[in-house]
This record gives sequence, structure tokens and C-alpha cells, in this order.
Amino acid sequence: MGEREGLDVRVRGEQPFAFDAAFGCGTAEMLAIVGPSGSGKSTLLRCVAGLVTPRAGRIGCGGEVWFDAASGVDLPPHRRRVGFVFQSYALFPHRTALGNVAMALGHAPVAERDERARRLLAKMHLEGLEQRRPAELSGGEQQRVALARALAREPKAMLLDEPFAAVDRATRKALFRELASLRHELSLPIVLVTHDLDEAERLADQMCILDCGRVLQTGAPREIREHPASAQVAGLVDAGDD
Amino acid sequence: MDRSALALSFRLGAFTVLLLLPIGVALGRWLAFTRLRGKGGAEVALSLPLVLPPTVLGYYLLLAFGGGSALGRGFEAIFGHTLAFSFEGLLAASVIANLPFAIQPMQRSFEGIAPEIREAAACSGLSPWQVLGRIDLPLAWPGIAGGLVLAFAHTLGEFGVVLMVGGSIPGETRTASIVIYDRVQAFDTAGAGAMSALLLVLSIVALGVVQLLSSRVGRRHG
Amino acid sequence: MKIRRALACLLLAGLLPPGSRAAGPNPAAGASPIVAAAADVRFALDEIVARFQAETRKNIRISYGSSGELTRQIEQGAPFEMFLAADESYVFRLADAGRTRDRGTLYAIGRLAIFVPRGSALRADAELRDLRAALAEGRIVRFAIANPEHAPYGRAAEQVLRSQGLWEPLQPFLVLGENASQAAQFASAGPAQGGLIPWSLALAPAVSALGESALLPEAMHEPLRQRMVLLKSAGKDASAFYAYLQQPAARDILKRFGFLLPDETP
Repeated sequence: MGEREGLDVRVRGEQPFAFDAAFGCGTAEMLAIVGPSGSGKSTLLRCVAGLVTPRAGRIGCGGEVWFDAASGVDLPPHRRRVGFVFQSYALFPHRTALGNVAMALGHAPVAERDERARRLLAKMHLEGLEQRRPAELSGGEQQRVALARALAREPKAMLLDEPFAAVDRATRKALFRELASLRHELSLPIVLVTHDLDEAERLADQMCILDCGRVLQTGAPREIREHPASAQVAGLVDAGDD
Repeated sequence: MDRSALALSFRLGAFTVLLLLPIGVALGRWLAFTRLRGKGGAEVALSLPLVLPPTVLGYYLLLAFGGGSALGRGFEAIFGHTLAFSFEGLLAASVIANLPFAIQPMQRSFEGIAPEIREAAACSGLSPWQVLGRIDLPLAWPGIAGGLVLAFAHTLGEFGVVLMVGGSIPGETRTASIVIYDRVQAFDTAGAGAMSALLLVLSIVALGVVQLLSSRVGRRHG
Repeated sequence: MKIRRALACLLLAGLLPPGSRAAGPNPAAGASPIVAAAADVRFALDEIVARFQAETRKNIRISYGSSGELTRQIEQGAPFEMFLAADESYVFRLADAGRTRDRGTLYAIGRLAIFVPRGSALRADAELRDLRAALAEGRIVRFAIANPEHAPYGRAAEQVLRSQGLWEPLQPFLVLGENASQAAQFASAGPAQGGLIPWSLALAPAVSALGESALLPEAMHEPLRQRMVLLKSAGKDASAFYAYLQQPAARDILKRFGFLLPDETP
């Protein structure tokens, strides 16, 4: 398989659970990693971000090598340009919405940080809420701040951990639209981790079915649905429908 | 009211707290975030002064830096006076005796920071030092302050260790609590009573402050 | 990385100037000397020091304790410049170890007394007759003496009780004070019925107001030969005080507190 310009991940490890997976995501492509809870989806995402160190493997993104067990390369998270949106949003409670976004702008000149943060918040339809603390924002607003913060980093890859998990119907629709438009705007690999098969199918270009830390099948959503590689995959796909 | 003894007690408390700030933050944070296997052992060792009888602590400290020890002789060679029976000796003993009082609240405070917040900080480009300064310390400060206040109040009341390591040398190692002991032996019940009342009030105030701060910790991470 | 930071902080802390001292132990720096004194001379010495300070404007700081305890501290390097012991053996011990200027001077002969607090079931008498009776009648709950292990007055108390055949019977009721003045403090407070304490303390107004006492005959115990000595580190002021203690003014005060003066003993 040729070196992709986007994200290329091959990892193996035991902590916190055993995992052995390989996947890739091209620029301007959205990959959904789908699997039941406990399948290790978050762990894979954390490997890409540098929050978990695999035992063996290689992670490359945008021409950079972020991790390579063979040659001992292991960039810490703050040296990898990832935009990570956590399931719990993980906003800094002691900072305002503006402050949260500004924290991720350390690479930008000081004079520009405020302005850039404002623009990002505006892009996420959060004008007027800049001075609010996370505790004063709704769930949907918090998520958008988290998104803005991730984008502020000017990342080489976007990672979203269960973005649909805690949101209500209305927010889900808004998020869906947001992510869809983002996909078109940024030419970044976007990796989405979810157990919600429905949304994954609608949004993603590629899907990766994961179970017990192993990739069972990769391909376009339709492909997987029509031609599941195994009974296990079929079962998971069906189960995901409920 | 023995003012020089009170001043001495306050100075001892202040310097103890000054030293415990970096030590407590470093150790409390390390204990909160490390996943090392030996962590439990370290926690036990650092909690020892909590349960150890003060005289046992005093005994071992004297052994460690009393007149005959290598540490004691080295100190004397450099500074011209003994480590035991001096303010410095008291300070060393006080810092060790107060380690758990400072470390434990600080550790709890750091543990109270959701790991994802620190992960998000790292992903936002903050180096480990920046995470310490912009995330850990601001979020954990109530516990840090609480630990320091507790250590200060506890230092004011130290007796057994102070008496063994410092003796009762006026202006040097005779702290307020020792003066109270001495006043009783001098049949000066009024003097003993006055100082005791003062220390009691200070202890209550200190505990009140700690209480206030720990409720803030709850609210921050709620 | 956290370890590195902790070490750096410890280093920095070590550079802190040695905590500001009220007055250093270095006599050359002109700091007021610290005198170690046996607990029994407390009230007498406080008065003598007050007079000395009034006359010479020199400050003296005193640390009271049991002779044994203070000797231990001196051997550990405590910054005392002068030592008034309640028993000369301690002074000789320090002299033999090379910690003193010379073998010191006898400054007083101490006496022992029985003290009973007001309202006690015991009566104070110089032959300890009531103590004996009280023991037989079960009137004793607690009886205080200084710790014989490191307080000369405690040792003297033990000698007295042994010579009267009261040591064994009193064992279950004895409460030991860390030094002679703590013994006095215990003896004057309930639940003790009384105790054997230094005569000098029994005479002090603060103590005599609390009960009755009776002076015990010298023959009941070995003499309490109280010796003082200047330690190696003694400075000018300490020497001056040492000399002052041998002058009439100081000796009068000692006499007033019931001490026998060395050259006046038969």
C-alpha cells in the first residue's frame, strides 16, 4: 500500500486493552471507526493523538512520522498537530469560551490570538458567547467550542471521539451539517469514532469496523453493508441498526 | 504573652510552608498522575509522619542529624553551628513532619482534575510545563492552599519533635507550644492560659480556611 | 521531570539564609548567651538574672530542664555557654569530655522537701510520718517525684524514700516528673496527694501559695552538690554572669530560696 498523504496508522499494543489495527484516511476524507463499546475505538484515536503509546507500529500524517517503534520516534501530543474533540468535550473550566480556543493558538503570534479565536467561534455560530464559561454553555454549545478549539490548532488531522453520543436530536442534526461542511472546507483527514452506525454511514467516505481491538473490515459504508466480510461483521452492522 | 516565642512559631510555620510549596506540589502531582507500580509504597512512606509518634520521629531525626551524625557534622562545618538545637534543624524536622499534611490535600486536588482536560491541553499544543502552569496549578490551587494552611497550623502546634530536635532554647527553638509547657512548669497558669487560648483560636481559624478552600475544590470540578 | 524540579527546589531552599535568628549562638557576634539550668533553681535564677540585667544591661537567656537532659543536649552540641547542674557528676562528665573550660564551681547545696497541696489527705512533716501512715491507711493515690534517671532531685527523693523503707510501698503510686519543676507541678495539682520537691521551689511564692511543705533532714539523702561551669563556647557576657553568681547579691538570693552556700556549710 502506497504512502497516503493523509493519515496512515498501523499499531499494536496491550495497554489499556489489547489492540492490533491498521487504517488510513486521505486528506479531505472522513473515516468512521465503528464498533460496539469496549472495542477499543477510543484507544486507537488516542494512539493517533499521542496520548497512548502503542507497543509497535507506525503512525504517519501529512508526510510527518509521528510514531515509529522501529526507529524509536514518539512525538508527544503537543508536538503533533491534532485536533481532538473529546467525548466529554474536556473544555478548560477555568477559562471562557474565547480563552479555551485561544489556548490552542500558542503557535500563532500573540497579537493575533484573540482575533483568530473570535473568528473561529463565529464560524461555529457562537458569537456573543465568547465570555461565557463552559459551565454556562449548553451541551451543544460546548461541543462547538471544543470543535473551534480543535480547529484553532491548525491540525493535520481531526479526531472526534463519539461526537453523537451525548447530544439530543436537534443538536445532532446541527452537528451533522457542521461536520459535513467541515469536510468540504478543510482538506484534512477526519477520523470519527462512533457506535452510531447510521450517522457513520451518512457522513463517512470510509468505514472501519472494529471489535476487540481488531479491524474486521474496511471500506465504503455501502460496500460493508452489502458485502460484509464475515458473519461477525454482518452481526455488528445489523446490531448497529437498532 | 511571650512574643518572641510566638514570632518564632510563626517564622517556623512560614518557612515550613515556603519549602513545602514546591515539595508538596511536586510530590502531590507526581502521586496523582503517575502510574508507577511503586506508587503505593511511596504514599505509605510519605504518610508515615501522620501516624508516627512524634518522639519516634524526633528520635530518628536526631539520629540523622544530631551531633554525632555525618549530616550534623557536615552542617556544622559549613555553617558554624549545629543542625540540632537550631532553627534550621527545627525547620528540617518540621518539613518532614508536615509532608503528609501538605501532600495529601494537594494530591487529592490534582486527582480531581479530569484526565481528559489535561489530555485536551496536550492536544491543544501545551507542553508539559505549560500544562502544569496553565491547567494543573490553576485548577488545583484550592487543594494546594489548603495543604499549606494545614501544614502551617500543624507547625504552630508541634511539640514532641520540636522538643527533641530543638530543645527549648529561647529565641532559637523555644516555640509557642514549648513556652506553654514551660509556663505550666513555672506555675504561671495565667501565661500558659493566654498562649493556649491564642493558639486555639489560630487553629480554629486555620481549619475554617481549609474548610472553605476544600468546598471550592468541590465546586470547581462539579 | 517532576523529580528534577523537586531537587531544584530543595537546592534553592538550601540557599535560604539560615532562618533569621533572634541572636546567634556565636558569642563573638555579641548575641545574648544561653544558660542551661537545672529546674530546681528556676525562681532563684530568674531573680538573679533580672538583677544582673538591671545592673549590667546584658541579656541572659535561660533554658530549664533536668540536669541529665541538659547534659545530653550539651553533648549533642546544643549552643549553651554555661550550665548550672543540680549535681556535680554531670559537670564532671562534661569536663572529662572536654566540653568545659574547667571543672566548674560549687554554687549551692540543694535541699529536698515534702510538699502537699491544699486540701490534700496528706500532711507535710519532716520525718515523713504522715506519709507512712497514709500509705498504711490507703490514703495515697498519687505521689510525685522527679525522674531519678536524669534528675538529681529525683535521685535524692529515691534515696530518701529508700532510707525510710517507703520506696517499695510507694511504687504503684509514684508519678515521675521530667524534671524537678514538673515534679513540683504534679505535686501541687490534684490528683496527687503531694510529692518530694526541691526546697527552693517549695519556697517560691507561686508554689508555697498552693500548699504546705516541710524541709527534710540532709541526712536522709546524699548531698545535692550543685555545680556550675562555663562551657567551651562561653563568651564575655557568660563569664560575667558566672562571676556574678559568686557575688554577695546573687548568693543572698540563693540563700533566700533555701539553698545552702558552699563555704557556709559546716
